[in-house]
Amino acid sequence: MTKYLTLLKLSWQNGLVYRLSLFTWRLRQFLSSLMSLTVWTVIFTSNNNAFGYSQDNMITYIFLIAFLQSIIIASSLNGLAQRIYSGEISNHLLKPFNIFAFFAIEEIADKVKNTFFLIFETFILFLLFKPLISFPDFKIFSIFLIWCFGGLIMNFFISLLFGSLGFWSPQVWGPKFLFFMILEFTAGKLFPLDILPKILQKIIYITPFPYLSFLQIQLFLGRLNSNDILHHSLIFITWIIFLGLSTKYIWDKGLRSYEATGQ
Amino acid sequence: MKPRANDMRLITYFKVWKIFGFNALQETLVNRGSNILFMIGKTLRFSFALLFLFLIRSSVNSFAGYNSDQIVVFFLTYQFIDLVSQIFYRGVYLFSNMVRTGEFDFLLIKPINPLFRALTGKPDINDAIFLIPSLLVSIYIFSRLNIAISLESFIWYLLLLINSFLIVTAIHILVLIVGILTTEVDGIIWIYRDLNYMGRFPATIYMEPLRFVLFFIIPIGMMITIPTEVLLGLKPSYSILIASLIGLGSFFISLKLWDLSLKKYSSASS
Amino acid sequence: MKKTVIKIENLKKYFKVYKKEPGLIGSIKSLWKRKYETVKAVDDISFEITQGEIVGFIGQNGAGKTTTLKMLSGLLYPTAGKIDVLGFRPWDRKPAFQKQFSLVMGQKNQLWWDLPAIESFYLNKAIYEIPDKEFDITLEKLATILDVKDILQIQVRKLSLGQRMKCEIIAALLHSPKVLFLDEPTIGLDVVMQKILRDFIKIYNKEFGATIILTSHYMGDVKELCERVIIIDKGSKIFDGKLDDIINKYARNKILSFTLGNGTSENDLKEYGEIKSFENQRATLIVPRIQATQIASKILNKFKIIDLNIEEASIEAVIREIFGDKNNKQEK
Repeated sequence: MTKYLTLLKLSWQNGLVYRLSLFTWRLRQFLSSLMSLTVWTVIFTSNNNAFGYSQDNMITYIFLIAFLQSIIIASSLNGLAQRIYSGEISNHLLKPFNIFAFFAIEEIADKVKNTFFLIFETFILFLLFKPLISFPDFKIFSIFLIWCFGGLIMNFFISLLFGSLGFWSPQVWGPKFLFFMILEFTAGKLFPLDILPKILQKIIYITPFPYLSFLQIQLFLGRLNSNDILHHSLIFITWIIFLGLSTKYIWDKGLRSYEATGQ
Repeated sequence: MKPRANDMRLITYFKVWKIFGFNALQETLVNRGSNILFMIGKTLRFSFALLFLFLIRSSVNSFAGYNSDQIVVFFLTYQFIDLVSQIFYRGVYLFSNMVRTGEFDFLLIKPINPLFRALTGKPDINDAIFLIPSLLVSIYIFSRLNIAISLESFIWYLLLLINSFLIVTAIHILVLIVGILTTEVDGIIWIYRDLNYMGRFPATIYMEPLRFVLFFIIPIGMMITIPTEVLLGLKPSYSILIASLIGLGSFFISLKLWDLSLKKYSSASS
Repeated sequence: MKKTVIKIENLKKYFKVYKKEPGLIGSIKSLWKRKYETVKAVDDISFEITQGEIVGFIGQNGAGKTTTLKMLSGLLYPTAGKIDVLGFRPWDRKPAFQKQFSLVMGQKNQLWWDLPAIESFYLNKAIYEIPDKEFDITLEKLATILDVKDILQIQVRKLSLGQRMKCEIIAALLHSPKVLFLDEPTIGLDVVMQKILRDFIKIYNKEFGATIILTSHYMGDVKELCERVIIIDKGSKIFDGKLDDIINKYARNKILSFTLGNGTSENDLKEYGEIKSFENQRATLIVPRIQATQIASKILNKFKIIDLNIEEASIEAVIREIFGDKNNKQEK
């Protein structure tokens, strides 16, 4: 365990070296939250009700999802494919520790740092937009926390899957870009997914994207009944298992071809 | 570095730029797999943004004093300016890497303005291709909106768009300067992109001090909001005179700062 | 008399360098407070180079070789002193000047990675405004000498390091520069490629009458190419002259090697000099330069010698000695 703690400390320090990139990343997240909140505030200044949301509901929704997304989607593994392709990862493979544990630790260190800044940002946004937040009852809140954890795991697997592209090709920005584009609109930060036409909602619910924050917040806001909760829990678990197995399968394959070509 | 603008040089610069474009096109074709994904991503983003605007349009009548048709025009202007600046200045994104690897030194010893090369060295072919359908879609949408436009305001709009490109150029030069001084542009360029992204909506909707920043510090408002307001025949948030002063001013200041940063680069250790 | 192409007078370049304290606390401190110290990368160097010369710059890492080349190319402003290259001040970066020189840096590339080298050549053709005919002739010539005709159409990323270096050099020479700065051109290349490049540099120098300054870690490059060398150490010029003169000036020792008849042991030789090797009755001795002949005759008298050679120390050894010596003095 101590060696993982040392690793945690190292990746924490490493992150301080890139102080600029963490700062800019946070600033970007802050600006995008600010934009969403502003747009919705503006919409509601001349309309009391839009898309079945009242102003308070909507502002609270955007506020919460901005917060949760910052934690779930922030990832230290964005450059993983390059690290693999360039051979940097080989150093880690030689050492006596589990590479996935190592990534998980990097991920935790990164999220802790992000959260640290996030608290300030959230405080500012709170003062500016004054969302009304009421906590759900204990049972729902527990499920909420579990779903959040599930979201973290899911994002971790997705990051690893994208990273694994680096085993075969240096050209990973195409898929990554596409992923982020879809994520931008389907994770629900600019607008809640339930304002979309029904057919689009159906398509989006087939993908894992709503499970990365949107459904958690819907749950938190009490917009899901117990049937919905059960239904989504099952799909959620299926996704996690599927992504976990795919990750394992592809990494096994990738590592084998990696060692074979001796990069 | 003073521009040596005799005719021969201009022809040379044009020839060089053509080769940049041609080479970038070849690279795009070489990496066609990724580039197809980029295209799909861009198409999705454009469609989703339009979808969102039309959702707003269908259920909301007014948006911060603009009607919902006008909001669509702001977005279309944003889309056009953003695309064109990507087409010309995409090379800026790769600049810090050039500084880090020392490739920038090769630009400095060549008989061509290094700023020209750094700005326009890698045109974005994806965006150039994407510009065509996006323009067609924009014109189609535009024709379906309930908006009347006079010839006069259209001409002013075009003139102000030229002013916008001065601002875009100035901002990209500033990013290059940051690249020279810190060898890092990734953060700064993305912050610019995000601020620019906020210009999808009229910059007047944002609260102070962000509003001030968007009009006077990183003048996205002058770039997108003012021309659109003029096109729509609305009273612009700031006068055309102020917008053009900011355009010209930022352009010349950025050139001056570029010279200074080159001096700094040339006196620092490698 | 040949005309002076490069003239440097009392050239100085001082840098401010930021010093980071180690560890986490150091990195946090560096967020707001940084310590600087001045490094004299080039400290009062003067020399002149005439047309057609190949001059070797020798020095350890950080001695100021690259800094000097960068000032000559106009990439760095000097802190003080004068530079004149082909009648220009390099840092004005006038196109008229830039069209007449070129800089090649080993392990740095200017070729487009994803495209065949020929595309980068066309780009340089446009940038340097090379007329079509001249371009074709020069390219043909260079590609023939370097034997790269068949790889010009292959993506640069797929080329070997040696092939890439050849293409880099062609890209740098398409505009037929009169002055050429080569910074570690053979670094990382295998012996065969090193040889090819050296031969090429020689040919280029002869055929185009180009003036060349070359820095290299490999004494081989310098020995084979440069009649004249300039040795730089810690920013100062400590030698400027013919390569052979280094030995006359700095070598303290000569090397005696001989084969002995049977019955002589290593111990018997100790009094004559430092024994470098003794194997199968074949001995190599390092002796002070001035006493070399004396000692040789003593040995000839005392032992049964089959053959004897007196050699100069190798240039590598001498140069190592020069730098080693300096370092030792500093430590004391």
